[in-house]
Amino acid sequence: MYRRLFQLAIPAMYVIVVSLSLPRPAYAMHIMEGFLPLEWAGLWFLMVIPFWVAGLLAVKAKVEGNPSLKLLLGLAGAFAFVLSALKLPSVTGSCSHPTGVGLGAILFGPAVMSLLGAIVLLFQALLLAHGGLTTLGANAFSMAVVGPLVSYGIYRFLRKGKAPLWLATFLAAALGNLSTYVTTAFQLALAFPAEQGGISASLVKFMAVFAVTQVPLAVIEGLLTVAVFNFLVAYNKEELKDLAVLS
Amino acid sequence: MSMNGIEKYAYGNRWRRVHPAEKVAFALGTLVLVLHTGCPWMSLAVFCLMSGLLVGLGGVSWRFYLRLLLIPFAFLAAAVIALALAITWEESGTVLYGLRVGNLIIGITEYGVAEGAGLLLRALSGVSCLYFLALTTPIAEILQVFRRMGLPPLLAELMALVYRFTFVLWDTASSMYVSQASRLGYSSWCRSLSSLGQLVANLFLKSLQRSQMLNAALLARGFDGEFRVLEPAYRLSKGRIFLIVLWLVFLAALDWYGGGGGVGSYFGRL
Repeated sequence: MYRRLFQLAIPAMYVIVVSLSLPRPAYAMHIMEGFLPLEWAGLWFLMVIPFWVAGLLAVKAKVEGNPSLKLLLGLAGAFAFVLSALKLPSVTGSCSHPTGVGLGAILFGPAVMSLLGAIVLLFQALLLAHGGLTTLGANAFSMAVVGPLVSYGIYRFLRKGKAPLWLATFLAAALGNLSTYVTTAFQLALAFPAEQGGISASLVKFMAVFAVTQVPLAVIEGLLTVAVFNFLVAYNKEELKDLAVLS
Repeated sequence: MSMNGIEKYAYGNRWRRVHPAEKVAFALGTLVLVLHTGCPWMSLAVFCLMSGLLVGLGGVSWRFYLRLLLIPFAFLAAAVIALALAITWEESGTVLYGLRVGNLIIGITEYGVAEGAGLLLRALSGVSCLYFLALTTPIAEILQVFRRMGLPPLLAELMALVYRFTFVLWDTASSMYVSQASRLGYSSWCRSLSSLGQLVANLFLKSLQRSQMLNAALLARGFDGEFRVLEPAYRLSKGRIFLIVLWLVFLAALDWYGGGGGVGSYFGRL
C-alpha cells in the first residue's frame, strides 16, 4: 500500500516540481505557434470567424451613430492588452499574468470582447512572442469567445439572483479563466489523442498537467478582479454607467 | 518604450527597407507549408534558415533570439510531458519506462516520445517563422499589408488604435507601479493584490479619460470618423519576389512529392 502511494507520488512530485520551476508559467495557456497541426488550426479559425463577424457587426452598429465610441473601443483594447501583460502576485514566486477575460467581459460585453480579444492575442504574438499566428483561431476561441461568454453569463445570472457583487465578480473571473483552460486542454486533446484511450485519456492528461498552474491562477485572478471592482464601484460609478453603451 | 525589445528590432534591423508585403508572404507562406508537411527534417531546415536570416543577416543578437525562443518553453515543456506520458491497462512492449499502479501502468512510450520530439521540432520551426515576421516588420506595416489584403477597414482602424494606445497605457501603468512600489505597495502578498487592483481600476479610469480627451482633440481638427495617415513608400523588388515565389514553390513541391509526408518519407523519420 505505502509502496504504491510512493510510486504514485514520484511522478506527481516530478510534474509539480517541473511546472513550478519553469521559467514563466506566464501565458501558459496560449497554444504556441506551430503546435497545432494545420487542419486543426484551420478548423478553429472556421469556428471563431462567426463570432468575429458578430462582434464586428455589433461594433459597427454602435460606431455608426457615434464615432467617439471608436476611440473608446481602441482604448478598451489597449487596456485589455496591458491588463494581460501585468504580473500577478504569485504563490510560487514565478511570475504569471491575468487573462483579463472576466474583467473585460463584465466591462465591455462578450460581443465586443470577441473582437478586442482577437486583436490583443495578435499583438501578444507579434509584440510579446506569446501565442502564434496559425494558432490565433484556437486561442481566440478559448480566450475571446468561451471565456468571456462564461464570465458574462455567470455575472449576469448571479446579479439577477441578487448575489453580492464580490461573489459575482469573483466567480465570473475565476470560472472564466478556468473555462479558458479547459477549452485549451480540449483543443489539445482533440488534436493529439492518446495512443490508448483516445481523446478522453488525452484530455485527462492535458488537464492534469496544466491544472498545477492554472487552478491557483484562476483563484488569484478572481481575487484581483474583486479588488478592481471594489475600487471601481467606490470611486468611478459614473464611468461605469457611461460604459453601459458598450455592452 | 519597448516591452521586451521586439519592437526595437522591428524598427532597426537589416531587413527594414524590404517591402513589408514580401516579408509577410515569405514568413506566412513558409509557416503554412512547413506546418502542412510536418516533416522533422524540413522543420529543422526551416528553423535554421529563419534563425540564419535573423541572427546572421538581420543583425539580431543571438542572446536576444535565444531568450525569445525560451518564452514558449513553459507551454512546450508541459504539453510535451503530457504527450509523452501514457496510461495503459496492460503490459505492452512499447513502454520504455513505467510505474505499475494496480492494473494501470503510467509510463513513457516510444510512440509518445517520437510524437513529442516531432512536435518539438515543428513548433520550433513555426516559432522561428513568427519571430522572423515580428523582428523584421513593425506592426503598423503588417497591419497595412492586412488592410490591402481585405481586412475590414473598421477592424484595421481598431487595431491601429489599440496598437498606439498600448504603449501609452503601458507607460502609465509602469509609472503607477513604480510609485506604488516605492510606497511599499508590494511589500506583502495581500498588499500586492490590493495595490494591483487599485492600479487596474485607475488604469481603467485613465483610459476612459484619455479617450474623451482624444475625442475632443480630434473633433477640434474636423474628425469625421476616419483616420487618414501617410504610409511610408516602399519599393517591391522583382528579384526578391522571384526568390520568394521560387522558395515557396520548392516547399510546396517537396510537400506534394513526398505524398503529404513531405521529404520525410525520403530521408526517414526521426
